Amino acid sequence: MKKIILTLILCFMLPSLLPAKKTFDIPAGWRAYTLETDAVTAQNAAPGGRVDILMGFDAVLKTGGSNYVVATILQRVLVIDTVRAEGKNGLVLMLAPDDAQYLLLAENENIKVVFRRPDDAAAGPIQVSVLSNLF
Amino acid sequence: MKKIILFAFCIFALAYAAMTQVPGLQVYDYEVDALNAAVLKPGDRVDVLQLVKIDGMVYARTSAQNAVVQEVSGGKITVKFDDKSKYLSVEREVLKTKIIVRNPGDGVTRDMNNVTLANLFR
Repeated sequence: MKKIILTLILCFMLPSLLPAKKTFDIPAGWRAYTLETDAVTAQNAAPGGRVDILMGFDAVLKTGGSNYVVATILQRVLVIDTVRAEGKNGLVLMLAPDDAQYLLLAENENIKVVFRRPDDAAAGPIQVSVLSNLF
Repeated sequence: MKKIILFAFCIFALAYAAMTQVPGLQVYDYEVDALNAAVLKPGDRVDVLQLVKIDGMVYARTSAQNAVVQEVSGGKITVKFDDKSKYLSVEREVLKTKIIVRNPGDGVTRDMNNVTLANLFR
C-alpha cells in the first residue's frame, strides 16, 4: 500500500523535479523570437545586448536580371537570451509582431547578426549595399 | 482502504486535468526546429508564424495568435487555440513554422497582413 502511495506521489512530483525551461519577461505587444545563429555569434551575445540584422539576397532589377544586395532590415534588436539545443545555437530576440514576420522571411535568405553598443540609440534608414557601389 | 485511495486518486487526476486544460476551439500540432522547441513550454502564450508559398511567391503570415502551448515533444508542438484563426483551414505549401512567445497577459489580437520581401522595401 505504501509503495502505491509513494509511486503516485512521485508520478505527480516528477515534472516539477525536471529542469524547468526559462520564462521570458516579454512586455505586452512584443514577442520572443528564436533565431538560429553560428556558435561564435551566440557565444558573444548576452542578454540585454543589442544587435542589427543584415540580410543578403538577390534583388530583382526593374531593368531585368538580378543583383546581390545586402540590407539592414532590423536595428537595435534586444537580445533576451541565448539558446542551445541539439548542437545548434541561437538568440532569443524581442521583436514587434510585424518585425517577427519580416525576420522569418529573412531567415529564408542569408542573414547576419551584428553587435552594437547597448547604449547606441541611433537608428535610421541605411542604404542598401551593392558590391558595384564599393568600387 | 484501497478503494478509497483509488477513488481519491481518480478525483485528484480529474481535477488536475481540468486545471491544466484551457477552454479552446481546436488543437493543432506543428513541427518546429530544435531551437524553437527549446524555448517553449506548456502554458506559454504564443503566435504561430508560417512561411508559405502561394503561386510561387513566398509569404510570411501569422497563422494564429494568442494560442496556448499544450505539449512540447521534441520538435512537435501541440497548441490549442482559444481565438479565431482564420488561416487554419487554408491548405498551403508551408515551408517553415516558427512559434513566437508573447506576454501571457497580452491577449491582444489584430489582423496581420501576409508580407513578402518586397513589402519590406516599400
